[in-house]
Amino acid sequence: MTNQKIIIFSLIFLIFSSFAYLAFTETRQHQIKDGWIIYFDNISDSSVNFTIENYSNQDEFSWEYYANDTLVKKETMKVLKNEQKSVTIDEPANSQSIKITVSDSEKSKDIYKNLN
Amino acid sequence: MHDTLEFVLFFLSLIFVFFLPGYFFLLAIFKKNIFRRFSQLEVFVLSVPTSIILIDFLTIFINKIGFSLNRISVFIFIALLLVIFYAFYYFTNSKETSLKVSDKKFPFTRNQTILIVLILFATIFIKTNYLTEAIFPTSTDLGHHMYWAKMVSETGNIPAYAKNEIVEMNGHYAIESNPIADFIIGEHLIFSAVNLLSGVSFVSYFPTLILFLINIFGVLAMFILAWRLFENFPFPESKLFNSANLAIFTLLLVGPLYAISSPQAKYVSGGVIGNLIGNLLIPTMLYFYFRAIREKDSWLFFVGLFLSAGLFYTHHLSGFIFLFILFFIFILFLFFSAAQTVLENKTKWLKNIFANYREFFRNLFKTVFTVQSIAFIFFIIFFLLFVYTPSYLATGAQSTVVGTPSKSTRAGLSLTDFKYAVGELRFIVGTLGFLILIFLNFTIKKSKEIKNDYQSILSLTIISGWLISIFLMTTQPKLLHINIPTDRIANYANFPFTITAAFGIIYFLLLLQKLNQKNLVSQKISLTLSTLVILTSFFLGIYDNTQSLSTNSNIQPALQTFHTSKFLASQTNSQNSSANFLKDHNYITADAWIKLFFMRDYNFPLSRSYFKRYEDSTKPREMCTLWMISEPSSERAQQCFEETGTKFIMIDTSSDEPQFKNNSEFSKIYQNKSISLFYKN
Repeated sequence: MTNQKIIIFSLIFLIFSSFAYLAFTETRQHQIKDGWIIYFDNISDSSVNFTIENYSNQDEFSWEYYANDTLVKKETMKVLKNEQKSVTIDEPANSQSIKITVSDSEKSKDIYKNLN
Repeated sequence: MHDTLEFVLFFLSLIFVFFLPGYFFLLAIFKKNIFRRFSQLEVFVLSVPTSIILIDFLTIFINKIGFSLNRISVFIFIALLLVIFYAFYYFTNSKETSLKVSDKKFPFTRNQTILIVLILFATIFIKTNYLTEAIFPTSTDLGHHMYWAKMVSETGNIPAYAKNEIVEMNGHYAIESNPIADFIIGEHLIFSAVNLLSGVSFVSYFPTLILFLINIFGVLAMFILAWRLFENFPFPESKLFNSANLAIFTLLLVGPLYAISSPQAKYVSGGVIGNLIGNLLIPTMLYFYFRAIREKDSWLFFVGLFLSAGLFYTHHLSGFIFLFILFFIFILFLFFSAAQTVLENKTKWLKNIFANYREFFRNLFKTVFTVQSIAFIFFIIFFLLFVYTPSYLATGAQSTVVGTPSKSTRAGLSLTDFKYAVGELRFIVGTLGFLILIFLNFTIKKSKEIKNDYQSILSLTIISGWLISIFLMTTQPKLLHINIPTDRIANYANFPFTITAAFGIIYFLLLLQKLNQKNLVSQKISLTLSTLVILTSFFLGIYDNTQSLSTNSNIQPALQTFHTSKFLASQTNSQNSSANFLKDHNYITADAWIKLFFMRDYNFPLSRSYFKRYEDSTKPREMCTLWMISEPSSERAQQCFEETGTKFIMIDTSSDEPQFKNNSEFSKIYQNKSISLFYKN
């Protein structure tokens, strides 16, 4: 093999190896590794249904539903790591505001809709 | 399995877009003489920049004649281009029967070849190591550019560069679409082509890997340029001091040493597309022009001209800088040619000076004014007027780069700042190397073939014009009447200084060798000093690499941003919402990529910019984006919400939630680890 070909084939090999390594590394990086997420299933109407996506090591969650600042419902649920669960709640009439508070053993988050 | 297939498709697309068009183009132009003019390695390296320009022109042309840019059209037209080039190559070669490949003109020995491979390994290894934590798409510039590339892929058309902006008129606010001059189509089409062919998402590794490829070939372009520039240089007789070693040292200084800092891997991860392409094209164009004039070869000039035209469709700053480089090369040529004549002739200076000029211009005329070059100039004028005019020409933005510096960031760097911009070693040794280069060029006896010939100063002229022009543009912009951010020009200085630094180091090693041969310095001292010089170079280069390594990974915060964006995009798309959306740029990571999840406008979402920008008296700007996040309850913010139709606000929870929390006009509809999404009722 000529000297030039040695350089060219080495380059192709190096570029391919590096690119493959970086591509697969980046693909693996597309995974949320910590925390959890809550959101309303429908953002523009008055529905209370919400979802928890869990990426943390905690899998026990408790949630509370408030209508007009009054506790209406309270439950606990299990959401395994890298899974999500939706909660469906019957919508009360004439609420001015609705709020969902979700807690794990360490933190709590809330989402709410002001419907006035 | 899906990821593997996607990667294989991506890699094949790289070959199809970044290598084959250029290779077949060079084959069609130089035909079976190609390997007499170039080594195989040169053809391999030169195919990449040539492909970039070909793909730019081709995709613009495809779209202009009415074809939508999609996977099938892009594939068929590139394949057709390859067939045309091959047919041109095949049917215009009747005398010779096969490509003759020779290693004779390749000056590198087997040991040098191994050294080159090791340097390339170190280069790619160091950059790969850095990019492992920076491959994830988060950088602001890359996000901006990929919006346009994705726009081309989604619409199948060349985009009109414009964005929605908030404007104030008579105390009222409105959204108005205004043209953008900063983006150039050539920066985006190569990404669209690869995306269309491979199907790999824009929010992935692929944009950064394309920039990495361009960076690697920029390094290789420097290697072959250094080799060819000094191929016929009148070196003092020595095994050490020759063009092959000079090219290897150049590769060392531009490759593994200073591998990360700007304009290298940092620019790759930062998505500085235009500069990276400029840093590939400028050495490549200098290579072609240099060889065209030295070898009086009009086809080499033609390729240089082709790449130059392409540069103005790819990066206007690089194009502007290249014009300055050419101007300085020309002026310095006249000066060096006269100086050489004066030094080599005791009498009849003027007569000899003009005889040299006459010979040069006669040969230049023959090289430049050929059918193919004139035809190409007409072609590019036609292309410019009737096919596609770059956005910076269409908007008249080119006039803003000429004139007295308008800001402190454009007033030029001090010598100390310039030294750090280039790298201390490269600056100091490069300056010494440059002076030695001038000294040797005028003092060493030349061989009979090149004595008294303008050719003997060509290498010096190219290096000097390149180095001095960028040095002056960076340190004395007022003198040259240019008005461009100085630090953006400074990074172009790295390359010429790298070549002269390599020259300086090798000359120092030669000097030690000579002193040792004359028994003025013992072998021990000579060896120790040589080792010291090489180790210092390594230390400073590697130290620069370690200083440039980033310790903070922003992958997880960016994923939070992407998750929020996907959520809102799915909600608003399903409801066909036309509501406007505002996000914060100060605290949200990778926010420039949010727009790729919506593809509604370059400025969708609107953005609360860096706080200092709202206080910049030289550039007054709208305040709505600041008020709507910083004081959403205020009357003026309420007016902004109303008149701009802004309904959704994405903020960093810990920084900006309090001002929304107690306001009954807002609903919080989403919260993740760091980001909250509010809805204005």
